[in-house]
Amino acid sequence: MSATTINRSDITRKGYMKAYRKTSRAKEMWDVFSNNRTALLGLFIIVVFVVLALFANVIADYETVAIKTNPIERFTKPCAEHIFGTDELGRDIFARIIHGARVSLRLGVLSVMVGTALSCIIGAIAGYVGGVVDDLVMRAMDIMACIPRLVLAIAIVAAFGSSEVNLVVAMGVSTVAAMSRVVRSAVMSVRDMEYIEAARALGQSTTKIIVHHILVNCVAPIIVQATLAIATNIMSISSLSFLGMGIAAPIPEWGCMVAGARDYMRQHPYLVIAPGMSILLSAMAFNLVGDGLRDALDPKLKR
Amino acid sequence: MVPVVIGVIFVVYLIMYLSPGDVTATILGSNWTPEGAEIIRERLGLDRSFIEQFISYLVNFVHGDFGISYINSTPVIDQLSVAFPNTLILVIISITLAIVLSIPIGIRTAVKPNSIFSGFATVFAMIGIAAPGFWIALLLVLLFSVYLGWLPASGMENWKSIILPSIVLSLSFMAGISRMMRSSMIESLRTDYVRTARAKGVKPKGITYVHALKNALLPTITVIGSYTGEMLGGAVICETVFAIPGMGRLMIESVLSHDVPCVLAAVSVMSICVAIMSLVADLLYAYFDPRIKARYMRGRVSR
Repeated sequence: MSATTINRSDITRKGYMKAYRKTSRAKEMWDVFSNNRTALLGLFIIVVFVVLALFANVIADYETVAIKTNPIERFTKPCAEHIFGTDELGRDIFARIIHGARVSLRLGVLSVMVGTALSCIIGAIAGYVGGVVDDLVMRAMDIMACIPRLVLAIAIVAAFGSSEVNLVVAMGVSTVAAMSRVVRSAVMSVRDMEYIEAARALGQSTTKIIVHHILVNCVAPIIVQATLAIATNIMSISSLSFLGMGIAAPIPEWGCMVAGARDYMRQHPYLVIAPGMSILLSAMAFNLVGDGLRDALDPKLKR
Repeated sequence: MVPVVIGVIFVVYLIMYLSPGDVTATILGSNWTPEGAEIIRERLGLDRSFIEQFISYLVNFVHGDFGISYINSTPVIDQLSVAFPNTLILVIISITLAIVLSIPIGIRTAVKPNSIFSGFATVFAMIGIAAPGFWIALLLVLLFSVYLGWLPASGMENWKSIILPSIVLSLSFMAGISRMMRSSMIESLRTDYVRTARAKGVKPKGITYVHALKNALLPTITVIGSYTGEMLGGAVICETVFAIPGMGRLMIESVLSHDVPCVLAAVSVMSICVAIMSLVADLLYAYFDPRIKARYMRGRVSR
C-alpha cells in the first residue's frame, strides 16, 4: 500500500527501500495502536491533561487563583463559575487541579526518567557482561525488590527531606528493582545476535556496542515498562503527599488536596471527588497507553 | 534468604546513616548542650565507624533487640510487638479476600471472554489498578460510615472495623490477580493437552478446573508473591486513613518524629516479611509444578 505513495525520485533501489521502510514501520505500529480503542482513550486523556497543564497559567493564574485564599467564597458547591466548587480556603478546585497536573506529570515523568536511566545502566551491565557481575547485580536488585516501593520512598524522603529533587530520586530509585530486570532480560535477548558479533568484530568499544546496538534494540520493552511506571509513580507521589511526606500544603498537588479535604468531607463530599478522579484518570491513562504500546511495539509480548 | 535479609537491613541502615539530621538534637530537644550530646553519642555508639555500628546493630537485631526509641525511651521491640499483629491480620485478610474473589473472576472471564460479566470485570480491573488507595478508602468511609452508618470509620476495636480497610487493600490486588489469572487461563486453554482432554470427552467443567487451572495457577502464584511488598506499602496508607495502630502507622509516626531506630526496625521487619513471602511463593511454585521439583532433584543426583 505504502509503496504506491513513494515519490518518483526514490526510484533507485536504496531510496525505495528507505522510503518504504520508513512509512511502513511507523504506520504499522500506529495501525495496531489506533485499532486499540482503550489505548486511544488513554492517549486522549493524557493529551487533555498535558494541554491543561501547559496552559494552566492561561486558564487560571497560579498566584491569584490557585494559591491565594479567598475566605468569602469557601465551600462553594460546583456551579458554572467554579465547575468543581471551591475548597476550605475558597480556592477554585478546577484551577488547583490543572496546576496539580503540572506537578504530577512533571514529577511522574522525571522520576521515571531517573529510574529508567539507572535501570539501563544496571540492566545493561548485568545483561551484557553476565557471569559473576550479573549474579552480584541481580542479587542486589533482589534485595532492593524486598523493600516495598512506597516504604523505600518514605525511608529516603524521611532521611533526606521531602524536596522535589529528593522525591524524584526516591521514586526513581524505587522503580529500579523492577525495571532493571526488564532491561537485563531484553539485553540478554539481543546480546548474542549476529549484528552484535559483527560490531565486535569491527572493533567497536563495549560502551558503544551497548549504547548504539544493544539498548537501541531494547527500546520497545523499556518504553512499555516506563509508561506503566509513570502511572505507578503518579500514584505513589500523590500517596506520599497524602501522608504528608511529599509535596507540602499550599502547592496544589492532588494527593495533598485530598488530604486537605479529608477534614471537611463529611459536610462537603465534593471536595475529595475531583482530585481523586484526576489521579485515577491520569494513572489509568498511562496504564492503557502502556498496554497499547506493548501490543503495538512487540506482538510477542501480547498478553 | 539470609544474605537477602542482611542486605535489606544494610540498605535501610545505610539510608538512615547518610541522613543529615543530628540525632542528639532529636533526643535532647531543648535540653541540648555540647556535653550532653557527646554523652549521648558515646552511649549510642555513634562515635564508632559505620561498619562497626552496622555489625553491632545486626547482631542486636538477630537477638531481637531493635534499639531504644529516641522519643519515648522504650525498647522499639515493645512498639513493634503491638503493631505487628494488627498489620499481619489486615494483610492476611486482604490477601485471602483478593485471592478468593479474583481467581474465580479470572477463570470466568477467560472461559467466557465476551460475556457482560467479562466486560464489567475488565472495566473494574482497569479502575482498580489505577485508583489511589487513600481515595477509595475515603469514598468508602463516606458511603459506609457517614451515610449508611454500617461500619466504623477508624480504629481496631472489633471485627467490623477490619472490613473497610481490608476491602480497600485488596481492591487493587484483585484487579491485578484477576488479570493475570485471566491471561494465563486463556493461554492454558489453548494448549494441546486441553485439546486432547476435550477430544477424549472430558466435560467442559472438568477441563477448566482440572486440566487448565493447575497450570494457569503458576504465574498467578508468582504474581501474588510479588504483590506482598505492594500490599505492605498499601497497608501504610490504609492504616493511616483508618487509624489502625499497625506497622505502617508506626513507621509514619516515627518518620515524622525522626525516631530513627523505630523507622529502621519497621522498614526492616516489613522487608523481611516480603523476603519470606517471596520464598513461600517459590516453594509453592515448586509444589504446584513438578517440572521444577524434578529439575532440582536431578541437579542433586548429578552432584
